This record gives sequence, C-alpha cells and structure tokens, in this order.
Amino acid sequence: MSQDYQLPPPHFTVHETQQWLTDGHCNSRQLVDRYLEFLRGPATDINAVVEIFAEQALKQADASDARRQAGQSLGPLDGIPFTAKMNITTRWGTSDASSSMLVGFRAGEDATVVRRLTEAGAVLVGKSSCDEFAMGASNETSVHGVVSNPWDHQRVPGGSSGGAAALAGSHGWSFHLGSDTGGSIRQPAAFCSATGFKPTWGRVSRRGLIAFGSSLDQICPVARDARDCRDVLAVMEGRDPLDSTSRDFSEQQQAPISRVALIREGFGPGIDSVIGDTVRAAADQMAAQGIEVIETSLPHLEAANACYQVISTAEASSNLARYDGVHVGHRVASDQLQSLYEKSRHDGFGAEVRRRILLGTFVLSAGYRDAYYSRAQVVRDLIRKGIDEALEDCDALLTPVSPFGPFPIGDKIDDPLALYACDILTVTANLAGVPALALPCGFDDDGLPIGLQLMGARGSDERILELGERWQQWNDLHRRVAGEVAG
Amino acid sequence: MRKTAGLARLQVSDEEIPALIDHLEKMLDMVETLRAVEVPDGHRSDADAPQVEVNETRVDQPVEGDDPGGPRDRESIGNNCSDWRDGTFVTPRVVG
Repeated sequence: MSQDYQLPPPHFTVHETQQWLTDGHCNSRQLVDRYLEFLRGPATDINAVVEIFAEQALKQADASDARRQAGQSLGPLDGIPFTAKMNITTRWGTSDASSSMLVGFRAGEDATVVRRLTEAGAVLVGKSSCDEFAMGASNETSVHGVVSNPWDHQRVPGGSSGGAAALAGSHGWSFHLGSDTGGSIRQPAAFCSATGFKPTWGRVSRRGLIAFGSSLDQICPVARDARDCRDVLAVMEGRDPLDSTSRDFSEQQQAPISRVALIREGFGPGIDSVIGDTVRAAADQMAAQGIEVIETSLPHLEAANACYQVISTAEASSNLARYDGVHVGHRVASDQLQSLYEKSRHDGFGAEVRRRILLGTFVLSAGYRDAYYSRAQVVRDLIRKGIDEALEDCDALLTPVSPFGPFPIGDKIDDPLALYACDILTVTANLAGVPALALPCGFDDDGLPIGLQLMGARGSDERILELGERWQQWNDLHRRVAGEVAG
Repeated sequence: MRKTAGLARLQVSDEEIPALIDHLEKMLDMVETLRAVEVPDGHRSDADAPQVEVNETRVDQPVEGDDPGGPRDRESIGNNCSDWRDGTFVTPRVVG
C-alpha cells in the first residue's frame, strides 16, 4: 500500500525535521509512529532503549498536529520525539537509574526539564539505558544489560549516557536527554558520532535528576547537531524554584568566537595519536575558516582526574545514602535494622557503585578528610582558576573528547582504573562548572567516530554552541548516522 | 575496610575484602597526584560553596498537589516501598 506522505531522511536534524513538518510532507503522528518502529527495531537491537511510551507519545503527536493545523505550533520542538535517560524522572514508566536498587521505581512526576520540553510540544517516546547511577564510561553496568555502539555492535557506546548517545548516533529527527558528571554526555557522543552539550552548571535545573555528584551533575542534550542542542537548551534552561542552585543566565550580545586555544596537555602521552591528529586537523579547518588558533597550557589537567575521583565519590557516597532499603528500592529482609540496611545496599548496588561509595566514604572519614577531600577542593579551585586564566587569551579551549576511541565490550570492565582514564579530558569542565560541547570531527581507520571538545567560560553556552553550528556548516560529519545506506 | 564499609552501611564479605582493598590502594596511589600540585601561599578554598554565590531558596508557601513539587498521595509513595502497610513504612523493631 502506498503512503500519501513522505518521511524525512533518517539523518535529519530536529530543525530540519521541524521544517519538514511545517512544509507538510508528513505530520507528527506519522513521524513519531515511524520513530517508534526504530525504537522497537534497531534501537532494541543495540539495547539502547529500556521503555517505550507508544500510546502516550501518539496522543501527544496528535495534539501537536492539531496545534499545527490551527496555526498554534509551539516552536522548534513541537511534535519532535525525545527520550530521557533512566536517571531522569518521568511521570510515565519507571526511573531506576539502571540500578537493581531502584528497579520498578515510579517517580510519579516529570523532572523540570521533561515538563518544560513537554510543554514546548516535544513528544516523550521512551527512556534510554545508562550505566548504573550514571557511574561508568562504557554502559556495561546497566541492570538492563550492555548497550552496543551503533557503529560497531561489538564495541561500547561510551557512558554513562550510552543509550542516549547510541540513539542519537543511529537516527535523527529526535533529541535525547542525558546527564554529565565527568563526561557522561560528551564521551558517548564522541563514541557514537553525535553532538552532546554540557551546559554551565546551574543553567539547567537538576530537579528530577537522580543525583550522583551534585556539584558536578548537569542534565544535557545529545542530538545530531549543535543547533538542535541550542534549541533544547533554550527550552530547558533557567531558574527553577525546585532547584535552589539553578539560575537564569542572560548572555549579552557578544561577538562570535574568533580565537580558540588548543590545550597542549590534551594532545600529550596517553592520547591516541590518530585522535590527536584528527582533532588538530579540525583546528586547521577552523583556522582555514578565519578562526585564530593558538596553543595554551592547563598545568593541572593531570591532577584533574584524581580531583574528580575524590569529589565525585564523596558526593556519591552522600547522595546514595538515601537508598536504605526502607523507603524506596531493593530490600533484603532482616530482623535487625542495621543488617537490613547493609544487606539491602550490598545486593541493590552493583560492584562499581559499591566501590565508589566506599572510596567516597573513606575520603570523607575522620582522619582522612583533610588529606583527600579538602585537598581535592583546593585543587579544584586551582583548576577553575587555570581555566579562567586560559580563557583570558581566547574564547574557547579545544581538546579531544576522549583519549581513545570506542573499545570492545568487556575490554576494560574488570579494570576500573582503565575505565576512569576515559574521563581525563572531560572532568575539567565539570570541576570548573563551564560549558563543554562534543562535536563529531572524523572517523579512524576502522570507521569508528572521533569527537572534539570545546570548552568556554561559565555562561558562554550560546557562544560555544554558535561556534559548533559554524563548524557543522564546514563539514557534513553530523549528517552521517550509523547504518544509513549512502545515497 | 570493614570500618569504612560500616560507615557506608554496606555489607562486605570476607571474599570481597582483598579485591576492595587492592582497588582502594590503587585509587589512593592515583590520588597522590593531588599532593604534587603546588598550592600558592595563602590560598584558601571555600570547600562548601565552590560555584554558586548564593543559593536562592523558593518562597515558603503551600503548593497544590498537581503543581510541580506538590504533595504526593500516600499510596504512590508506598508503591515504591517493598514493605508498606496501613500507610506506613515497615521496619524491623528498633525500640523496646
């Protein structure tokens, strides 16, 4: 049976898809219906999606179509499908942070960002898998199973927002909400050839984000391109009375970014040479387009990962103390309250989460706090100052996203320190609270994606995204999705 | 390790302890790089409020059930608890 409508090509960005809807080639119901087929098929094959809200999504799509017909469309996201990571609460379905501890947990309300996006007409179609409590860089610790990289199913998609990035790397038309505590949106975006953006800390409400490290966590979009990330940020951002750390940022009209600095330490030992060369070639491409490219140094980059490990685990040990087996989550019956706590937490949390809770508890414990936690706070302060000083001479800092590319499933899961090394180039932005954007910048000899990272000053999110938009006008890497047949 | 696990309210078995100690030692070795960082004389860090100048708390007033952040009905809370009876969380006896 022939259909009397035409769907956009699978690689289309959100803004291109919105134009497609406006031009009347198809409506939101037809688009969402086809996207649901993608979720049930290819997305399920790579295990990226945990829950699908077909019935509710189609109703929302119908409502969007009605608004469009009445000339009352709500803007760039109206009628566009999106997913939320399993650690972001939604009224529908469950929000278990991919942990046995919270399997079946129903939050009963939307995170502020989900509510704002839904009010802007975006259509929540499902929930994506992630590493347990967003702790990981390979999406191998999810209670829902390992997620595969869409470019090579034997390899990891990165993490912790591996499901979200794998969806963005496989198909356009949509955007996906993840979170980033030490690189959890940027590293999987780089591994899956998607565009991921971590906003300035405080710019986006964390209400409804299941907490990991509160001073580092940020809800983030991952999508096909930087313009899509900008459109999603514009809806999500701003003061939320339910998150006292959220703030309004109004960027003054500023000149576009004209000077970018390569961070020397981001191209040193331990960084895959093909990745380093590819990102340098991207810098050359920027220079050819008239952007001045200089080099700078961040002397504390090496200490940043250690600093991150101390602060993030300390905050995690505190945030995850609430899971006691009594109020929510997994419970192991016992006739003693203390052993109920201890057994429930042992069985409910996976090995990696338990390791981090133990390290975090240790660095905060009497006799060790000054040596570890307080020291890390001092170093964090120096890292932040180092970023501020580096940005006095330029508008943005450029590094690779990850020191190496997508690795085979199982390759690093038994060596936690090797996995932590994934974060060395991304944690700095979280420690300093600055915005950071991951952009596809090429493929290696095996056809695996490579990403570059741009960091800017706190509050310069729109300028960083604008540079990303310009970059994506100079190449078409963001127009390639995994599995799409050329032509 | 047992002391730390006790503080964390985490059960650890005898079999798990050697691997956990090994991991903790490796992490603490890695964290030693923090000591190598030169800290300028007189440097102070405000550890408790690193990024936000002032937290802006919301006005203290009642919120309706349907509003964001509004009160939840008891059963929806109880449904997330594995032992919920007569509108309460059930725990082992802790007094008397």
